[in-house]
Amino acid sequence: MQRQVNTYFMQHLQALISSLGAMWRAPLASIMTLLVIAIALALPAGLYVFVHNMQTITQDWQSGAQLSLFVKDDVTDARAKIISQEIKTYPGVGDVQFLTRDAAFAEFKTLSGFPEMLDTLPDNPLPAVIIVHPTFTDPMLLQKLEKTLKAIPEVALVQLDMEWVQRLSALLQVGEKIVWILMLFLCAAVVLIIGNTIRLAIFNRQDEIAIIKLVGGTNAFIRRPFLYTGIMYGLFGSILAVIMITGALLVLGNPIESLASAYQTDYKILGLSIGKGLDLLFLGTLLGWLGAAIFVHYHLKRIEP
Amino acid sequence: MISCQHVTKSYPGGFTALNDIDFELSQGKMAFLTGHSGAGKSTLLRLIALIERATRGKMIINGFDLNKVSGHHLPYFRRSVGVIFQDHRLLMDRTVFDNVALPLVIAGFSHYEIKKRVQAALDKVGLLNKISRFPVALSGGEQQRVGIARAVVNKPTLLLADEPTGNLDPIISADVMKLFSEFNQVGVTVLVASHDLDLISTMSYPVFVLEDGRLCKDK
Repeated sequence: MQRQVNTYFMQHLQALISSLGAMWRAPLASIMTLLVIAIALALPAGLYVFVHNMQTITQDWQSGAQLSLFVKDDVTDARAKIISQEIKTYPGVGDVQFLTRDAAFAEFKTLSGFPEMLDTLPDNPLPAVIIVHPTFTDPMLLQKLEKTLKAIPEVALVQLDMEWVQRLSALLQVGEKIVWILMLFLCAAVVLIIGNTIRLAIFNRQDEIAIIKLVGGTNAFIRRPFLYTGIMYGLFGSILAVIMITGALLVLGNPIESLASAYQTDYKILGLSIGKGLDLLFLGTLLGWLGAAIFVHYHLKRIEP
Repeated sequence: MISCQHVTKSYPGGFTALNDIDFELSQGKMAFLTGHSGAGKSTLLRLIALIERATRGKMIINGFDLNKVSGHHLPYFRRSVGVIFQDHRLLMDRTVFDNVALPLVIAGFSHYEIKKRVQAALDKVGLLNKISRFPVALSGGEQQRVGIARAVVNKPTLLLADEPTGNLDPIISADVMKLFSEFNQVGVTVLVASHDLDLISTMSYPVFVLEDGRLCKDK
């Protein structure tokens, strides 16, 4: 039993070493294959990082969402203030600010940049405003809140400045779907690339395979080095993909930070997390094994002594 | 042990290579198989080694019923049979040691055991001093002896040789044949296909003659 277990591990080790040796002996071909695999894996993974970053940014924006309630002109400031305090008790409402007509006019004067001209107006044209900060960011819930607030008789208009954020978030959802579709296609590409590499390796070692079969090599024994070759290509290719993405983020990091600071935000670009990086390595290894397994199974059957 | 009953091998297109062969070789015996080119010698050996399958008939080799040896058991059957080819079929990019070690590596022997057995097999065929050479650096006779060492290193109970002396000069051919009879003396069943009638006649083993796919006589 012990001997069998030892033999089993010895044979796996031999297969692993022989597959690494074969890659090492043809460095140019191996590197080119690895690069193709790495690029195929880095493309969807990089796109994922991009979409993930965009989602994080827009989430920040969404949390800054607010509803502006314009109070009808015939409502007194005192009444409007009472309403604003009532709104504060609504579920999902965090902070509520009340701007009287005068306060709104004063704010507009300072922001507009031409206060003298506004002084010439005979009357204050602005309504009183209640600004509602919700505690959630979900577009559906926001719309529900918008409806509730619209139903208050003293409120003339509710403005939810969310539409463009919603559109962006919908766009990002499309982006996420594209990442998945791209992932699927490029995973298939990786399987085919590795499969083709294995096919060539089998073709080059046809005589050897025939002789191994002749002297009693089991199919598992013959398959093993090729499976390890596939696994190694997948693993090294995905390591290379992680390096590529990390490198690209390093290059992009500084420009993005200065871009963010130009917009008075302090945004740090999100890289590939360790978990996602490990996922990528696992995926690459799995695809390598899969590509090798499919093609080895298909081609070994045809080689007989 | 070889036992063939009513063995027929025909190929698609109607060519019959072997026709109703009855053939027995008991455990520990040695025999020659002879006949013209195309008489079916190689085909019979390929059927016995289960490189090809008979179209009809029953074959019992080393206790295996070949009709029942399927995919999974095939490698284990082949390990009990050593096969030697005219073109020796060595791996040219491996050393003599690696070539001879191949059946042992496949069977999962330990390093120590592999080294010991490969050295013993190469010593037996007189090539211990060429252990780390590559086959291209060897003469035809030496390459053939490496092939023999590979066939016997796993201590098979049956040894098949297909024209092992086909490319060799008479003196070396006699040496190779002598090797086979030495293996036979330690209990290995040996079947050698050869058309070298002069050489065969110098040795006192039964001779089976194939003619157009039929076994004509045995003397």
